[in-house]
Amino acid sequence: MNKEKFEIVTDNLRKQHPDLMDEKAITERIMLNLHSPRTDNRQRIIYLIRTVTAVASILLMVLYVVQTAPWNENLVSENRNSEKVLQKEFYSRFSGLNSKTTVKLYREYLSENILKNNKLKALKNQ
Amino acid sequence: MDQTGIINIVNQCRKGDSSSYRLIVEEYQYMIYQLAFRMLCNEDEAKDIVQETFIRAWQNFSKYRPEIRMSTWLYTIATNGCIDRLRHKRNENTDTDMQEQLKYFASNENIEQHLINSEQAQLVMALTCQLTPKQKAVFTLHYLEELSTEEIQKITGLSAEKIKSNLYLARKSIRQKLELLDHE
Repeated sequence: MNKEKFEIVTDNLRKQHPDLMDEKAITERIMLNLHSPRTDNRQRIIYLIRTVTAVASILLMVLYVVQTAPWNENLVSENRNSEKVLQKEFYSRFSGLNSKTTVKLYREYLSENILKNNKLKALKNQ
Repeated sequence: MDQTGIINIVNQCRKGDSSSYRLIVEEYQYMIYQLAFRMLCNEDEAKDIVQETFIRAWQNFSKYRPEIRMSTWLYTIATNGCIDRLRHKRNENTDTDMQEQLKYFASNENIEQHLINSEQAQLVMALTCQLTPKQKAVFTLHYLEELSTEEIQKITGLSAEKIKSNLYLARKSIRQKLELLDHE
């Protein structure tokens, strides 16, 4: 019973066609808007947003790959190791001495460092 | 207009010849208007969809593939536009006059009477107001536009199973509505 009604109502609705009075006016409006600056600008903005988001996503991907890559972990651990070696060297040079000797040696150590730094700067400037 | 003719027009449009595009607009304008009207149940919104559809089609001619029928491609753009609009619309209540009209439409076969646009819109609205945008799209394309499942698949991007389930739910909802009308 209901199935019949459903079919009757859809059949009747299908036979109803809406009137479109100003067909020509709509066509003209479409033709005018094809090259309107508003639609062109909107298109440009969409392209710009798409480009920016694409570049940003690529950069994030690259950053992620760089951070998770195994060679990057080696580099980080190497840096940590060299820092530890420097710290050990410093403590081994100054530990076990009295305060006066320590200050004197520390001053010498600093002046040595200054010289080294100056040399490094000079090399960098070249 | 045959497919070869359409491909020639498309090639000219790709070169920026908008005068050829007028032929496509004139050919398919009413088809898109009817679909949008049946989905949105609003004359002005349907006209907006017609305009949006043809402007989008013009801007995206590079994406058009000749193996797809022009009507299918335009239906796709229009259906997506209608679904977007329906998602932002609230379900409107149907008035009692329309329910009487609906009763009449559901009980008399081959009604020759032509309804004016606002009556047609209210009638479709009374019948489909409970449907989700996707169900409404699938129902309109299948029952009112009489398109095949394959074509609806191309237009909506839904699988055959999803189309069937959407149609089933749409039918169920409409049948319940018709049943309620009988009891009132």
